[in-house]
Amino acid sequence: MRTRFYATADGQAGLFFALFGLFVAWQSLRYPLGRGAQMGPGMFPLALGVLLVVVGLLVTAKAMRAGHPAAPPFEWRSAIVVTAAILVAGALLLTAGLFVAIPALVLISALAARNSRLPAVLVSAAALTVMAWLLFIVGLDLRIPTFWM
Amino acid sequence: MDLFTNLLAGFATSLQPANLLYCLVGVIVGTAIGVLPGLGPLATISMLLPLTYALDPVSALIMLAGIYYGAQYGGSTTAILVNLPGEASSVVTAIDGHKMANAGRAGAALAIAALASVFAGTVSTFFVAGFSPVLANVALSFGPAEYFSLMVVGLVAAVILAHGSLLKAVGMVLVGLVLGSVGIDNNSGAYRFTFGSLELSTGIEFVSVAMGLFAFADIIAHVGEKTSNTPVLHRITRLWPSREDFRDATPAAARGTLLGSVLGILPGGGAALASFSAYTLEKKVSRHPERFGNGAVEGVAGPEAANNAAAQTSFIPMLTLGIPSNGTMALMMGAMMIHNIAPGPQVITQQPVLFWGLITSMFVGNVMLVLLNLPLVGIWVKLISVPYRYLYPAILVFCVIGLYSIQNQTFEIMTAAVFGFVGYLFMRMKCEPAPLLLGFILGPMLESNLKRALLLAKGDATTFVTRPVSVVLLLVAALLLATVILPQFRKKREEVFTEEA
Repeated sequence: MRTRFYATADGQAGLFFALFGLFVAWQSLRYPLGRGAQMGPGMFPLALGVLLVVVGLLVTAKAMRAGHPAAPPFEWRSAIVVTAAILVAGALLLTAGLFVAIPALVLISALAARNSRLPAVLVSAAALTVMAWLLFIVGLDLRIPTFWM
Repeated sequence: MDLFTNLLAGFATSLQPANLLYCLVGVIVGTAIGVLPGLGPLATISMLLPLTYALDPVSALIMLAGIYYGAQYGGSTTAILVNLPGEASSVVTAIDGHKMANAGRAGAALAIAALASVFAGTVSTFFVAGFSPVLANVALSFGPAEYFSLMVVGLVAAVILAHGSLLKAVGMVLVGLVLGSVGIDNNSGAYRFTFGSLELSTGIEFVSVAMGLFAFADIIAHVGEKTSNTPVLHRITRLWPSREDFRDATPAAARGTLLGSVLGILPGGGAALASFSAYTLEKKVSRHPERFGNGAVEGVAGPEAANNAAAQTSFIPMLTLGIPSNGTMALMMGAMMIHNIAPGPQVITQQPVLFWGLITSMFVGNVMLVLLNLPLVGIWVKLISVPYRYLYPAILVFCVIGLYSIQNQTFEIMTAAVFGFVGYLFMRMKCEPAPLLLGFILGPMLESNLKRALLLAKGDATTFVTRPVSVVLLLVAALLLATVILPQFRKKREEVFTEEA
């Protein structure tokens, strides 16, 4: 079966470049463009945006022509879990402290692995928290609250 | 002898106890992280970069350079022992190195790799020391037009040497250039693409980009793998290579060093290209080419010497012209800028201590690498067998706190999380992230040199083709592009990358 171009790696890359370029070009119109000798802040990004659209369309066109294989399946679970774990840890680090943020990071990110067992995860969360505390707060004297107090 | 006194002064810096210690720590930590399967120098350096913020610039760069060699050597160790090359430059080492390990000669392969590396490292240190001042002198006469054209050459070369599609690499460079333009515009003071965020007004933090694209994206891609394959390890029985090994390996290491030193200087060149070319060369000059792929010692010595030599000489364009020739150098350049040093021809004259200290530390670092790695190889082997499910949480913790420590704020963590997600998308779309990083680093300089050149020429864009040096550089860029667009060269390039993959 022929794969649709938007299901191939190249097709998606092309669409991404073109849409991102379009967005960049549109946004850079908000800044003065200036003239040759006195280029304004909008000129360089506008040029980049236009070039991106061109490159994106070329990549898409190539993907439409040849029979490329479909892109590998998207690991939604891994991508969302890992990204969320980092975001949550970032949000907790200064508000709830290191001793909450690091276990949260380890426990949430463990949801992405298929073969993790709870006891092992708890042990590694505890070990990493103590290690981070010793290394970064005791050792390197970083200004991170340990707890929310 | 000018060079001699400079080198002596450099050793006076790099042999200070504190700097020796930082170099040692860098080499050890770099190797420890580099041996972990899948973590190449780019991920390792971006992970460890925050550790060096508190140091003074000289020590920080010495430590980072140590991390770089360590990571590279660690990658070769993994390639030889378990056939899991962490990065492009050790792919070639895995071919014959792992065959040697299968034949019970893992120790000999590791020792040959280490000795070839230190030999290449020593020779190319002098290469860097001798060549850099010459190049810096030339570059001092460059105006904005020349710089603009030079950066174009650098970016074109980055595109050509990226794996896979050329057009996609061009796209990635452009995305990098756009990301580099976020923040306050130097010339007009306008806030660009900040979307009202105060943190974005100083631009996107480059460590966030690097960690997101190289460390986080990699975790996303590997964390869900069902197989928890504990790699099959080979026992190391005898470490010292035989006399025949030395006889075969020595000329190969010498050829690899020479080839690597030259290829490392080229924009876009670097360790991966060097090790691949060295392997091809060894196969060509060998009287028994059929031995390659079946555990030929030359197939380890040549590429290992070449990738180490290239790793070192690729510092030359970065230190003297301010043009990073590959992703790793872009990271090193970013690290220098964090310490308020603008890489370029003025570094040698304005920061002689830093410049010569760094160069001599390359030699010191290489010697340490051998002294350390051969006795410690047992520990590295244990590290390789740590299951991934224990490894990735530790990497995450380390990265998150490192990101926080950049500005003592959590904004960088959030940005890196986003870049991790985006980096995974790029991986799926088979887009190499290294050209993006180069564009990101060079973007602001490219733009300001373009503006200045046009201002000096009163808006006349022909300035780039009427100034002799600039036009030569642009012709070089055009020629480079032509080589990949013309069919016979394109075929060659595809061959190179399929063999590498």
